[in-house]
Amino acid sequence: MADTDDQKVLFYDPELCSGCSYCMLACSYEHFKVLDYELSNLWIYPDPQRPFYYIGIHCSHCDDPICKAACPVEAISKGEDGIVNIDQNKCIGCRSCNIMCPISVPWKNLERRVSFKCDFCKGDPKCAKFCPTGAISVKTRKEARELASKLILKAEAKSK
Amino acid sequence: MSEEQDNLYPLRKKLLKLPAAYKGAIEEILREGMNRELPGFFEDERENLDIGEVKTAWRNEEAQRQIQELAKILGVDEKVAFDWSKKRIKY
Amino acid sequence: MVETKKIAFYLGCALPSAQLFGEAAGKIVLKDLGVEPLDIEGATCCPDPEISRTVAPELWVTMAGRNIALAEKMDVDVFTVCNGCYDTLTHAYHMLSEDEQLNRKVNENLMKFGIQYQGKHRVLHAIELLYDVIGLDRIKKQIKRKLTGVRVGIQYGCRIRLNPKKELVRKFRELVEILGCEVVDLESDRICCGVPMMYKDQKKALAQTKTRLDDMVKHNVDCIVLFCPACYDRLEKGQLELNQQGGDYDIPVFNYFELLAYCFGHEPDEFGAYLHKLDYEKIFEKAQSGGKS
Repeated sequence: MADTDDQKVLFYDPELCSGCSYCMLACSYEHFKVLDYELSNLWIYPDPQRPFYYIGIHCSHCDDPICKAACPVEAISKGEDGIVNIDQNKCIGCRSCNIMCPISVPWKNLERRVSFKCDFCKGDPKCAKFCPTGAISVKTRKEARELASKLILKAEAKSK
Repeated sequence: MSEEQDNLYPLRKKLLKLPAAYKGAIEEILREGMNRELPGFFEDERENLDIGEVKTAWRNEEAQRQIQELAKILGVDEKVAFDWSKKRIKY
Repeated sequence: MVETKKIAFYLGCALPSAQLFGEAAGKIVLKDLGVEPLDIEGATCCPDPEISRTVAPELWVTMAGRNIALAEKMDVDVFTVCNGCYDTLTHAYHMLSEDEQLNRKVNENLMKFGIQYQGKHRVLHAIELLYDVIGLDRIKKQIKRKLTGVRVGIQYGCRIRLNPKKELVRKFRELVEILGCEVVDLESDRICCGVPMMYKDQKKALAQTKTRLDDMVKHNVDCIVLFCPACYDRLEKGQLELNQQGGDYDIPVFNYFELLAYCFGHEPDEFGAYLHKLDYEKIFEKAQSGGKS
């Protein structure tokens, strides 16, 4: 576990998110050179339970990725840096990873007929770089876990 | 384009595809160094309110020249295919 | 007599044109406070922290460095009201002071025009200038009339939250409070005005602006106060667009400097408030009548 604690991951703080969704545009531009909310590897949705709050869905680059386990052609790999990646040259577009991921991070690009997911922009995630409020940031997994548990405690205290 | 891709396709032009929403802003910056136009109406209003002539790059040819030079030095004009004679992005 | 301090006023793109009441009010207010705002000769776009930074990051940091360097030439700090400009300039400032190689490269290019970036002077937001440099006491002394009974909603804007240590949100709230108005704190204060969505989906942007405005209407906000010209643009134009579609929005939007200039005893015509597209007079009438609309 010691190694994965130091892995860089994305951290989303709903308390800071303004819902501007520029992260989605930055992501689609980085990967497809277009501005399109449909072609993003992360998503920002309005929270149905809390008005004026948003939910951010992004890849956690899991320690033991279920998308990788589900892939029938071994197109998904977890690199030495911990980044889980899809090799589009191997992908057959079967959507197994889309279905198996608990938050459906991998998505199928209908035009290219293969699946895509967050590749951490080669270590410099554009969503975090362009987030105007700092709601999305790059943290080590350990830091992200601590911050997330703090957020959960805060939310629980509020709901009581 | 990444270095890997450059090695793979050495003859491919290093052109950055710009979405429509980005084109205007980049064109204006390369053309006049600013991001929005200043209609004459506002210049009259500036006189009325006594806040003097605008000193930003709108009417300052030297500042515009500097920005255009910088764009050329840094290769931005080639990257976005800026046509200097027509002062707009080619594609 | 307090000693006159000089500071460069980085205007950005919207303030000298479509929102020149912000510039005029800012200059009036600062003169009253004993600060001389200087125009930066030949300043360009900051450039914007989204498009230019994505497309041409090298040009982005060089142009930002150039803008700061032009202020440095006058040997003064630089301040801006725009959250976007503030983000770009502070970001470039940090990048250039931390990365020596980048600093050398940028300076090499700028030296061709006889400009040198030194990084000796600070980049401030108008909030920092008013709160930290000038101070609330000095501002309070100048206040001649108050906005009694006016319910004010604050649009903080997104980018001033980037550095939580600077507490710009709290400082801005305190600055509004001293005007004697009723600050309406809303849950929606945090949300986006809709500007970044304009690049792709204008309907989505308008829906976002509507969400923000509806919350203000629900809480009987009389006017919106802000610094960021981008938020101003969206919130005012958004109301006009929504009215064209059958809405009935009429919440005037003010730059903070305008309200401050009014409280310092200046008449709205002096700073060009007549350029507002929504009915701004009702706010000042309400203030004069002590909160009775």
